[in-house]
Amino acid sequence: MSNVSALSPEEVALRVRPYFTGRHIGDIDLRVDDARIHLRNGYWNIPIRPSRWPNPLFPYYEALAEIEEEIQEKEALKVTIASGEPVAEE
Amino acid sequence: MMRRTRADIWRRMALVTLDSAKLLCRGDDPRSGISRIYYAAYQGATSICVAHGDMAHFPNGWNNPSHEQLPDLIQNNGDFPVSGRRTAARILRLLRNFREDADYRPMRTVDAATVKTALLAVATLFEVLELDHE
Repeated sequence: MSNVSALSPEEVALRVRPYFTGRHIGDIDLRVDDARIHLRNGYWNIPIRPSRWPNPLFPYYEALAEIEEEIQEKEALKVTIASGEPVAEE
Repeated sequence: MMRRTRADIWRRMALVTLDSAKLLCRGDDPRSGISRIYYAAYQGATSICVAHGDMAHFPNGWNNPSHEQLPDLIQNNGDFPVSGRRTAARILRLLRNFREDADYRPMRTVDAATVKTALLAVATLFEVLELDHE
């Protein structure tokens, strides 16, 4: 795993964004909330915003867990994905 | 305290928490039920980490793992088959998200289907980590 604290949030955003851009869970698009990426307990917290509320929840969170594993394996980066409010709620 | 004793205390705590979670889910407070389901899973998985000797990896000065690191500790625990570890790690991530919805997001629906999924997930976690065995 990378030395997580040696990275900046901007560098983390650059590395994780490709895993979300153009990716859909059903008809839900995902957007990384770059400004809120932060380090907590040695893990980069990656806030993402879905295009709408997911329903049902299970396949949505199952897919997020897969993405989290994929990033950890391919980027050697400790991350935890946090799903926030939908973009449409703005 | 011996590692095994400490692990067993965590495991027993997990079983009690799960019973409480089921009571809440049967009543009219599914959000609290979901929250306790996650903590039953957290406590159960923590007992496995403690038994494995992972306490040195817990955050400095903590007697428990961070929520972020727990799935990784389980995924790297060689006491269980790879498929079981992967399933358990994924369930921990899933239930953590459910808990955050239940506790922090009043606009997110927490309905009977969510409760059913969470109960199934925690039962699977207990099964693959052999938490309900003496």
